[in-house]
Amino acid sequence: MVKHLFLVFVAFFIFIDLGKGQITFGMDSIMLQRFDFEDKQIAEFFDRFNYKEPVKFANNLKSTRARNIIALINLKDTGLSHSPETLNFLNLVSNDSNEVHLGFYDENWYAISHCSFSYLNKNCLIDIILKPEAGLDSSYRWVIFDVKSDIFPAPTKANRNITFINPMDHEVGFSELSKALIKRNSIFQYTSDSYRADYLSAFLIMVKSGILKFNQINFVDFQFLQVKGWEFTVKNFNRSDYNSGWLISSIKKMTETEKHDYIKNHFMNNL
Amino acid sequence: MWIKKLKMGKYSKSMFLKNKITHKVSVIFVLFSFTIVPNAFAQQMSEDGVKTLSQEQLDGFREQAIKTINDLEKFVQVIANKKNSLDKKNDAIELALDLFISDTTTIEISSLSSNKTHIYPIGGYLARLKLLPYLSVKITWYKIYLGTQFVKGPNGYYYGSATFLQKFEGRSNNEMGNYTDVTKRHIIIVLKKLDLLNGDSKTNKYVLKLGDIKVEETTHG
Repeated sequence: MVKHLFLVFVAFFIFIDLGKGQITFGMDSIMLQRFDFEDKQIAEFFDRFNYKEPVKFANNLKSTRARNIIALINLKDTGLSHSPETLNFLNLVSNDSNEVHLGFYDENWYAISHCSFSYLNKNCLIDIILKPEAGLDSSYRWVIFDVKSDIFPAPTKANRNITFINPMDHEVGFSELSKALIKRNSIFQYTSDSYRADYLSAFLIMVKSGILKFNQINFVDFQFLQVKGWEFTVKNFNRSDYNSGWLISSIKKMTETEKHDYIKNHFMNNL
Repeated sequence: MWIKKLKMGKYSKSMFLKNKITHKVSVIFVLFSFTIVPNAFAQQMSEDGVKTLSQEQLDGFREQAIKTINDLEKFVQVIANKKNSLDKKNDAIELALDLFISDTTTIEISSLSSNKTHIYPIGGYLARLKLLPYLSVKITWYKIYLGTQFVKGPNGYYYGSATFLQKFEGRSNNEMGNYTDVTKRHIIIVLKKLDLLNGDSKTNKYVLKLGDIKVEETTHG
């Protein structure tokens, strides 16, 4: 099967080269020709991944589910397209007996909206992680799940022997609390051992109060964790090539336990 | 005349605009001739949160979406054409706005002269279009891809999306010269649920409306 997929890979590269050779018209014609081949929407990504929409190949190359999924990979990244992990992933998902399908209603997929904000008169980048959430009436909405940014650094663990408010400080009106608040830098170290930073709440308050001013969404990508044993990311490759649009940009093996830890560590700040 | 053609299903929006028919009638016309989703489709919009449309449904629905987007195209041409009177342009703006789901709908605009894009409320964009110094504007939609999935939102509306290529050609006889570009755009398609009373019985209809428009790519035409 692996050998077979490798051959499909080769065939596909030939197809890409032939496809490029056919483009001899103006820019609008290139966009026009590319339109049918590129992966224009995430909904189309789902349909092509699930083989509900066979990809139209040049030169009447017959569509198969394996070819469909290969066409959804960023083939410009040879490290990705030639990696044994990618082939293993393709073997799994293109085999209909494994029944691997993606859908909007899946629980374990996320959108990462890479945004630019102004904070203290400086530009800063904040990733807003969103996920689809179902309501009781089977309706859906995207909800803000978490935020990531350098402006929300991981708090350093307190050194209980050095940074603390002494046990009798209440008798003097918490003078050391005043010092900690004025000093600011080590303020996180005065919290309980059980404290976990909730940056999403901080972010929401900062946006609402105007401390953090939104500039724009720079780009969006998606992270899919619903395929058992695997994690992959999808990014938008906007380029003059048939292999363009929403494509898989990375594929990793990930056990279900690792996924749980990943979500906890990366999306939920260990909450 | 227009009623007869409406019944025959042959009445086009451009013919309508050429004829001097009142604005109120035209709004009704837009609503009932172009944007109501066929009954068979509406009945199948079940209580499922995610509706994946069959090819047959998609084809029917694509026709509705294309008609609505074509209507927008024609209104935009009337709005941008310098030869048209202010009244005619303002009427076209009102009709164009009626195609959208709300007045908070936005459109992202790009230009070959800048890497930056700008987001405008649709009303503000159409008002700006009215003031463009072109003698005439031609907008052509090349292709429309309609996503197969429609997802129910918390308000009961169904949301889908379409992607299309649009060629903009602005003709000018002043120093500004002519301007042409081709843009790939994504647009939200909304199926708004309407409860219609027919005597004692109530039926549901879905009206097709347009949502936010995003620009993906702009190149020379």
